[in-house]
Amino acid sequence: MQSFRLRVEPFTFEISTNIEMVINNAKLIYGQSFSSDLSENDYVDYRISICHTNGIRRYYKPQARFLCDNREPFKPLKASQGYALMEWGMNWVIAANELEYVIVHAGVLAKDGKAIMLPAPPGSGKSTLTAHLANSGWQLLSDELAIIVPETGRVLPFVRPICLKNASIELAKSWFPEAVFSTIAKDTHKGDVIHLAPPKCAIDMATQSAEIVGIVYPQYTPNTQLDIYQLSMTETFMKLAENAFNFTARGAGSFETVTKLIERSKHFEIHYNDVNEVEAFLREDIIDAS
Amino acid sequence: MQVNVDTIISLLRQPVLMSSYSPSEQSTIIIVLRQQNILARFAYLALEHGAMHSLHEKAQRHLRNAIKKSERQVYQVGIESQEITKTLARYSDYVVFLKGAAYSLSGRLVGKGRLYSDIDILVTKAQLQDCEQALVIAGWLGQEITNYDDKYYRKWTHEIPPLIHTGRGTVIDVHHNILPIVSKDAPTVEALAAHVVTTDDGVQVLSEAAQFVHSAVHLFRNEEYLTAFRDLLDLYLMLTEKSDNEQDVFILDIVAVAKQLGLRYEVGLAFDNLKRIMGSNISQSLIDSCLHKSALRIAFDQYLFKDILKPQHELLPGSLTPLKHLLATLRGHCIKMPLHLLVYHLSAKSLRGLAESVLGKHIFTPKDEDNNLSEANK
Repeated sequence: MQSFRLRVEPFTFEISTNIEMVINNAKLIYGQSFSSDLSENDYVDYRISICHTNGIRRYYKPQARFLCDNREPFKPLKASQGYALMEWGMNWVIAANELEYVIVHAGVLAKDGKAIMLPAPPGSGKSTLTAHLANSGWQLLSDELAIIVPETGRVLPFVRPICLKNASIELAKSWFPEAVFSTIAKDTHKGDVIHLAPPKCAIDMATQSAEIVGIVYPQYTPNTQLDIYQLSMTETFMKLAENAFNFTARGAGSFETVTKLIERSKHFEIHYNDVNEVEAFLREDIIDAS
Repeated sequence: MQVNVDTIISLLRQPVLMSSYSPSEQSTIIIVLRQQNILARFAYLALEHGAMHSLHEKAQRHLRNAIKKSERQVYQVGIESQEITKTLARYSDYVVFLKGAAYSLSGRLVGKGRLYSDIDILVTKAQLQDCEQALVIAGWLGQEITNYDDKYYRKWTHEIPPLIHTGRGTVIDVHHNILPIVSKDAPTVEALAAHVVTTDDGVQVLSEAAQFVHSAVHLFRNEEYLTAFRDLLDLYLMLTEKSDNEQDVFILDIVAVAKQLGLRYEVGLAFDNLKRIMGSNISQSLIDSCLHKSALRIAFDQYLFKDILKPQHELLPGSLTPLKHLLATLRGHCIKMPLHLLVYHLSAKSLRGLAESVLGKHIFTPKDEDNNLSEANK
């Protein structure tokens, strides 16, 4: 069993594992944020483990099992998907415990301290778009979890790798030949999955929160020009609630935060097949206009 | 300072001590408390003792998160309890909320930050089937369990298989006694009914003394002790909620109820361990008078419980006692049912257990890849 820490603002994780590929990938993807020195006097927020299941199962189609505080929210996955399981487990831990923040399933990118939130279901191309923007001069705050401070309505960076699926994997590798990628987790419930390390500039800015000025629901649609639909406040609210992780657990307070957020920002649904067009739209019509 | 078992115990008695630990020690303490399912409880105690503001900023955030989780549960159980009471009013002479839900609903100190995963209720046995049907119609459905388990619940224990609400996901355990019916010590329904009281919100719970007795019985007739410290704290807080004078009266009350229900031994074990572990002030002669079993049995139980009721976590040096846990599990089974049933039950269970221990815990887990991870990545 080996343990290491990941310092990912605003949290520190301590992870134990006996699966070699988990350590190798974590070291590769987290770089400076990875530390195997456990004697440092960090404040550790969460301890999790990704381990082989017990019994002879370890030798026959080995599995990886996620545990945190004796809780096991997921069924085990194949050991070769262990690193992806760690990433998803970290998401779960934050969504399940951090009730002080309003947490929305969304990519978040910012320019000049102004952030755009991209809440979207799987298959919408959100992560591919996030990867493109994060490598085109935007500040990456998060690919999966928008962590919103209720008092200020600002979003905190939680800079983690970007999770790309299926066809996006080859696309991203051709777009960013220099970037750092994890090994591919084949045949997960989402298909083939890879994690792309965040750009260094995003990590350097990991303590700089941003004001949310736009909420955009992207939908990748082949054979289309960029179609932009302005959403009413009610439509945005309903869509946002669908993507919220901890609305019910937080109770009424969430609605107030989200209402204020919606009143202050612009909201659109976009259908696109060219990320460059989207980039120009977000920059000119939302960031520059806010 | 090293964080160890005694640290955790003393912090629950005196939360102000927390600020004397370094930030990284505070983080260890919080991780242990969260795993032991007592983080929210500690958070409330820290608030009450004015110990919150002196903590590391991150520690404070974790405590506030825990309080939020608990607040949500109290709110939810408030609604569910009304719903359940309304649903069953026509069918059962009483609908009594037990354990965690009862602690929340009675607004007692023991309910502050007490987390639980299901709502336990007690109804009359004769009307059990009507109650189950009424709950099903109201949206609480049984899960898929093996035929063996279903039969086991219905024939031998004091409850029916858990029911889960299809919309809200809340789980109810419906009991008709506080002990398995096959155990010869199960109290009569009349004896239990005498201790039912109604809260200001119109829901039924057991009287405070009977809640203590039930909590003790539950703890000392259990088979699983991984978060037993949480249960010991339940008992501890029920006592400390009272002023010194009230406490003496309350303790006598508890003994009287225990006598009526024929459950004095478990209450004796509770007093004994509260005195040893938490330093509760209970007279030794009273404890001895409750511990009325053979000297050997008492010595064995004392040996077993003095460690497994304490906090356990791999971060607390020397706190894990796997052998004692195994013994406690065996003990729990042995006192639950007569030997011939136990042998039958364990052989049915152990074939599966054996297969799981050789082939891996999840060998029987149904394949369900679509739902897998849906919670984290919806």
